[in-house]
Parts: sequence; C-alpha cells; structure tokens
Amino acid sequence: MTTTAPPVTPVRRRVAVAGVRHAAGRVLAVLARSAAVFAPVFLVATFVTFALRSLSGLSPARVQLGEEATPEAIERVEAQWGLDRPFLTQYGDWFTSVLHGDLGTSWVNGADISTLIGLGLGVSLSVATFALIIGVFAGFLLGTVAALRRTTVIDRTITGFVTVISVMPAFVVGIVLVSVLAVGLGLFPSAGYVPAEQGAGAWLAHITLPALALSFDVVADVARQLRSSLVGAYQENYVTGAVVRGLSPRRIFFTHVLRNALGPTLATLGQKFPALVGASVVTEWIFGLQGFGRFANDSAQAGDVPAVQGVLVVSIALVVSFNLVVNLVLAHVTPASRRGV
Amino acid sequence: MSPLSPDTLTPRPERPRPERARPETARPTDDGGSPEAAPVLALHDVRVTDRAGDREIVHGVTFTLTPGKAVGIVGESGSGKTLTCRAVLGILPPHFEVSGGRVDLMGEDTATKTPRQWTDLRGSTIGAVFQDPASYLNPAITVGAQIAEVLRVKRGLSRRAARRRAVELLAAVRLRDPGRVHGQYVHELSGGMLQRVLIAAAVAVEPRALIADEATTALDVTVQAEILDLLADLRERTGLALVVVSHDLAVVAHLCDEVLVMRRGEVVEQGETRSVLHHPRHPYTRLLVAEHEQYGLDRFRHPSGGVMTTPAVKAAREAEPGAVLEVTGLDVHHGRGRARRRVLRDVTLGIAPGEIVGLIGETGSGKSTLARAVLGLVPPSAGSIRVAGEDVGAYGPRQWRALRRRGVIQYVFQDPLRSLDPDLTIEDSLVEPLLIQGVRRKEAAPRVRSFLDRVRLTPDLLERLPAELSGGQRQRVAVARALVTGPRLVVLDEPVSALDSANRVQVLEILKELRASGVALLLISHDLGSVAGTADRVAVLHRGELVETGAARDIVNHPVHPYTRLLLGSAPTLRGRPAGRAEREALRALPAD
Repeated sequence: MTTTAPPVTPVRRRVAVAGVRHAAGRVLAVLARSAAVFAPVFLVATFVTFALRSLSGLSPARVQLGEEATPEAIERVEAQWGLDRPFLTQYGDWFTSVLHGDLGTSWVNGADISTLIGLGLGVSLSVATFALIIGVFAGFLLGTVAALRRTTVIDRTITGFVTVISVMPAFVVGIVLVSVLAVGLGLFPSAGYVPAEQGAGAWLAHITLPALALSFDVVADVARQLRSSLVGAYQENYVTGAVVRGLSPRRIFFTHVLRNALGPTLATLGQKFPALVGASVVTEWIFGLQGFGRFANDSAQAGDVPAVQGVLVVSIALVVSFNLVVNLVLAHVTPASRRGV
Repeated sequence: MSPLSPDTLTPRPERPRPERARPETARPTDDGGSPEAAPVLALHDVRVTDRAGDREIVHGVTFTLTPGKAVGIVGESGSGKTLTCRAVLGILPPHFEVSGGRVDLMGEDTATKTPRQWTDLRGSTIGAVFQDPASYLNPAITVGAQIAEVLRVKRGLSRRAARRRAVELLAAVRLRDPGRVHGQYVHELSGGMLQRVLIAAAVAVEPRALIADEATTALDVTVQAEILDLLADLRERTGLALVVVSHDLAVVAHLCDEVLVMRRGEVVEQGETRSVLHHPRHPYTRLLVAEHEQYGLDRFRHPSGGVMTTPAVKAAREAEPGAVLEVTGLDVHHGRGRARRRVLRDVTLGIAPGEIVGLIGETGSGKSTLARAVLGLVPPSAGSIRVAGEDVGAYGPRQWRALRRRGVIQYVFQDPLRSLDPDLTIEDSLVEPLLIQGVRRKEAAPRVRSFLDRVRLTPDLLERLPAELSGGQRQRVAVARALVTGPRLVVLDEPVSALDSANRVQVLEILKELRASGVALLLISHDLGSVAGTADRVAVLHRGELVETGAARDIVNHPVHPYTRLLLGSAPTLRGRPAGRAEREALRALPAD
C-alpha cells in the first residue's frame, strides 16, 4: 500500500472523463445486450406469427369468394396474393416489408393494414398510457404510504383496499364506472373517442373512464410490489449505515431506500404492459372505442389473416420496446442488473 | 480551511470547533489527549431492555472516552456489546430501549435529544463502522457519491467540492487510485477496500468519536492489520476517540487503552488494557487470554511453546510409517480457453499419520482448491495425489465413489449448521456414513456412541435436531461424523472460525487428542494465529504456491518468506504485534513483486 498519493488535478480530470465514459458506455452496453436478446425474440415471434396462416389453412379466396368458389378461382386468387410460392420465400418477402413498415393489405377490403392499425393504435395507446400513468402515480403513492406506515392501521387499510381492487376484472370495473360516473352522474361521456387534435379536454374526458378501468390492476400490482420492496430495503444494513452517517429520514428514503426498491417495481411494470394491451380488447367493447384491441378482435373474427399478423407484429414491437425502456431505467437504478449474466 | 494534500486528514487543532465550550479542552496535546480533557463520550451504568420480552439485555456499562483515547469492548456474540454501541448511536432496534443509566455525548445527555438533533449528532460528532462493510453501503450508488453525499448534506459543500474532498478522503484512508475508487460500486471492491470506504465516509465530517463494531472481523488477517493500522493512524493524527468492539481480545489489545470484557450483558472485567491482559481476574477473561497463549501465536513466545508430541502420538506414527497424504508437484487450473488460469502451481505437501498440518492462505490463495483436489472434487492438471498409498489423483468417478463410500477421506466444513441436515436427528446424521458402508443400523448405533465421548458430547444430544444445538456442539458433531468411518485423512476447512472462544478451545483440544488415533489432519485457515498452536507443521500458500513449509515452531519464530513474515506481523497477539506498522508496510510491498 502506497502512502504517496498523486497530485490532485490529474486525479480529478481522470474522474470526470471516466465518469462520462462510464455513463455512455453503460447505456450502450444495455442497448447492445437488450438488442441481442430482442432480435431473436422478434425473429422467432414473427416467424410463428407468419406460420399461423399455413397452420390455420385460411385463404383469401374463401374470405373473398365465399364457400361456393371453384378450385380454379381459389387458385387464381391465391396466386394473386402470392400464396403459391414456397413458404420461406413468402416469409422473407413479408418480413422485409414489415421492416419497412408495410404490413400488407387486408383480405377483407384490400385496405392498407398499417393505416388501419395506425388509426386504432392512437386510441389504444392514449388509453393504455393514461392507465399506466394513473397506475404508477396511485400505485407509488399507496405503496409508499403503506411502507412508511407499515404495520399501522393505515398500512392495513391500504393493503386491504389494494387487494380488493386487484381482484376486480377490468370489464366489471368498466361497467360500474360507466353506470355511476357516466350514466348516473354524467361527469364523463359513456362511450366514444375524440382525437387529441380536436381538443385536449374532450380527449381526456373520453379516455379517462377506460383508463381508470384498466389502471386498477396496475395500481394494485405497483402498490403491493413497491410496499414490499420498500419494507425490505428499510431492513437493509445500508439504511443503518446512512442513519449513522447522520442523513435525514427524508434523504434516506429518496436516495437510498426508494432507489433500491425501484428495481422490482419497474420489473413488475414491464410485465404489466402486455396485460394492458390484452385487457384493452374487452374495455374497448364496453367503452365503444374503435381501438387496436377491437381491430384485432374484428380481424380475427373475419379470418383476415394479414390483419391479425399485423396486429401481432405491432404488439410484439410494442412490448419489446416498452421492455427496452424499462431495462434502460432499471440499468440506471440498479447496479446488480448491470453486472451481466 | 487550508487546501489539503490527499494523504492527510485535517489535524484536529487546525480546525476551531465552535461547539466546544471550554477553551482549555480545544487542543488535544500531541500524545493524543490529556487526562483532564473533557470526555467525548461517557456511559454511566447504561442498561438496555427488550420491551417485547421485558428482559434486561445489557446490565450496566460504564466508561469514559476522552479525545485521542480508545476503549475496547470484548465479548462473544450475544454478550450485549453491539446493543451497547447501538444505544450510544441512538439506533437501537425496535422495542429495545435504554432503560437505565445515561449516555453523554460531548457532555450532553443523549436521552433528551430529538430525532432531528440525533441526525445532526451522527456523522458530525459520532460515527460508526461495522462488520460486513459491503452491506452498509448502498449498492445502487457509487461509493464516492455516498461519501460526497455526507459532505454536501452536513458541510453544505457544492457538488464539485464534495467530490474533490471525497477523493481526498479516499486517499487519506490509503486507497490506491482514489479517483477510480470514487466512481466504483460496492460489488466492484473487496471487503478491505470497502471497510476503508466506510471509514472515509464515517470520518468525512470529522466526528469526535468513531465506533468500530467488529470492523475487521471476516477480513483476511493482513487486511485486518491494515485497517487497524488505519484506525490507529486516524487516532494519532486527528485525535479521534475510538470504541473498538471485537470478539477477539488481541484485536482490541494493541489499539486500546482500556478494555471491557462483556459476557451475557454483564461487564465481567474492566480496566487498563495491560493489567487486564497480564492479570486477568474473571475466568472468562482468563479463557480469552489462554486461547491466545495456548492455541495462538503467543504459545511460541514461551520457551517450551509448540505442540507436544505425546508418546501415544509417537506410537501411532511408528505403527504406520509413510505419509497418509502425499501431494507431489500438483497443478490445478480453473476455467477453459482464454479464461483458463492456474490456481495451484507445483504444490508438494505430505502429512504423516497422527500429524496436524495447518494450511494457511488468504482469500483467493488456492487453499480451498487444494482441499477440493484432495477430495477429488477438482481434477489436477499435473502432479499426483496419493492418499494412504492409493494414487487418487488418477482416479475416475467410479473409483472415487468407492473410495468415498469407504470413508477414507473426510471433510469438515466451516459452517456446522449448514453442513448438517436440519431434518435429521444427530444420531441419524452420525449413523449415515456407516449405513452407506452397509453396516446395519443395530450395529452402527453403539459405534456412534463411542465417538461421542471422544468429541465430549453427551448421549442425550443424539435425539435432538441440529437447530437445538449450540454452534460448538454442532461443530463437534460434524467432527464426530467425520470420524465414525475411521478415516485416514480428515480435511477441516476453517473449523473454528465461526465459533466463540470457549468452543474454539474445545474443538482445537479435541483435534489435538485425535492425533493419537493415527489420523492425519489438514487444518485449513486464513489465520495463522488461530491454527499455529494446534498444528505440528504449517504450510503457507500464497497465490497458488506453497511459499513456506516447516515445523510450526520454526515458521513462527523464524519465518523466511516475506509473505509469511507479513502474516505473522499481521496476526493479532496479546503481547503486541511482532512487526511495527512501517515494517508491515515494507513487507506488503515485497510479496506483490
């Protein structure tokens, strides 16, 4: 061990440079690792998605010509759609156009699927994002208060409330919300959607109830997870360490406890997003929204395979990118996940 | 405040402290505080009670700490030493409270302090460091940021100034490359480095007193010595008053002016360090001293020191000439491809029947790998291993299975609780190795009973579960289980590290007696001091190589290799350290090449 220390200035410069390089490298490393995981996931998922057509035996000819079609007519239509070519060639072509943002055309009405999905996605993302925001805010508030007042009446009340709302399905909540807040009290419109360009107030009014209905599950999961990780973090020695160094309770909560408790909660949130997309199918029916979920449902009923494939590809992309964001945030708050596998 | 060079902390006299009321106490004298200096910390008959069970746990602790002085508290786990520290820091666990006496910090009764006042006091008046430093730092933030945080909050420094001062502090606790350490996370640093970081954070705002609660426990001996040197250095340079808490009397001995020996919440002995060491009055203190004098390095300071070869042992050795274990030119590699690296290099070691060989090495030296190679758990890449004449180094899995069933080699783990099946009674655990050999249960049971006596356990323990036994009893059960098959070689990995003094002495004594049965023992430890007094011969492993092998007495009295000298110079003993701080530092530079 040397006792002679280097002069101060070079040390400082090295610290600063290393710090910047460290941070940038970290983000890049997380991105690279996530890409390495997500690229194969995306490939396999799209392949399975595309194989659905062959497996289902559905054909555009049946959709367009009906049950009475002659075999010649069917062959003609299938050739027109390029379905007589080898499977892998079809997949290759389809995958290339997907990468260019082209999801093909509908078997039912020949419309461009990307455009159709785009229309529905605006509605669904508005609702889902709002639901997430409500879920995160209310969940954090409830979870934090319960953890800070742990084992008191307040904690028990919150835990009880959270358990109750976690077992209520979104469609039940939706129906109750519509009948009480929309039909009974007339506070919100009961159904329909107004794009944000036509007035933020109207837009918010229309998405509030569906978002609320969807958010209950998120609130419950975030609150429970956050409460238990906060309680766990408070029992860690580094909290004692911070107390002994003379830091205030508020500071200990924000810089030490919360930071470490955030990891599991964010991971929960990452898992919640696909569920939100799934649950939107039901809520969009209740609230009369022409959203992404509704579109998926209609396409599946009509046997419109390219549309369903498009829905799946977009869902995969959504879930994957949302998880990428979660991973980036996770990598920033928790050092353990940065260590690699 | 003048700009500081990175390797110094502000000497106390340079900094006028407004909170100090009496001017005559403002300047500690050069010898580290004059007797009439106002006490930093004073405990008067402090009692701690567990309100949940309505039991008093600490039955009155009294001591006074003046600037530049050090008080040591010695006791095993459960003696109340940690609760006493926590009472001083105002961080008793829920439902524990100070039920009697008073704690004065800087002359003020802490019982009257509000939580906000406590927050102000901690860090700036009194700080603390603990065992397992990794757990006391936030894993999500760089260690430097955690030091800077204290400076910003308590000193109001700007972000930039706090960072600069944090790097200076890291240099002051003698961390190499402090700028780099500043930006690192807990998982990137070793235990010794983390303890330095924790000390830097604790002294960042220059408190008057520092509590070091088992701060060097579980660290390598050489690292422990470095941390103790650092504490002594801080005390000398800045007049920092220390409360040093340890289960090891020797750790406290060389650092403290006054010692309190605690047992079961009671201070059984208290006094000036030298008089406690030389004239221990309480039986428990005598035990602590005896542990070092009879089983540690201090044994060799007596002219007749060392392990006696009794006639029985001599007879056992003569009955079976030739080595039980013969390791020759052993190389072991870990990993494959580019990650492949040599863990052991050309190790040659033999153990005779009835001989105890102590294998000493620090974390990462390869001592566990050597044990695993002897047990057939890692394949050697070169060299041979012979056990009782069989060339086991060349054995395949099937031959190993047969060898293990015969129970020729046995192993005793460090942690006795985790090495015993919690659902089996002690009898079931002890009988198991015999049942594997095909001995019928009816015949096995009486054989097991005869071994109980040799490890000084009573037959009534047989029906109990491991959780119902004390740590020392469990380890003796583990030793008995290793012996029931009549092994030729027993490998013991840190067998006494997890035990308190009384049990430690008992287990070491049992091991010594075992030699008469002709069994060869390989005793692995990171601490030369803890096994030297029990071993016939000592082998020192450093970075995968045996750097020195010889009779325990010769190694302790005439170490040759610099690393062995450093180990000996670092091992805490009651008679003062054999090596001075400067000498240790010179030695540290040597084995690093």
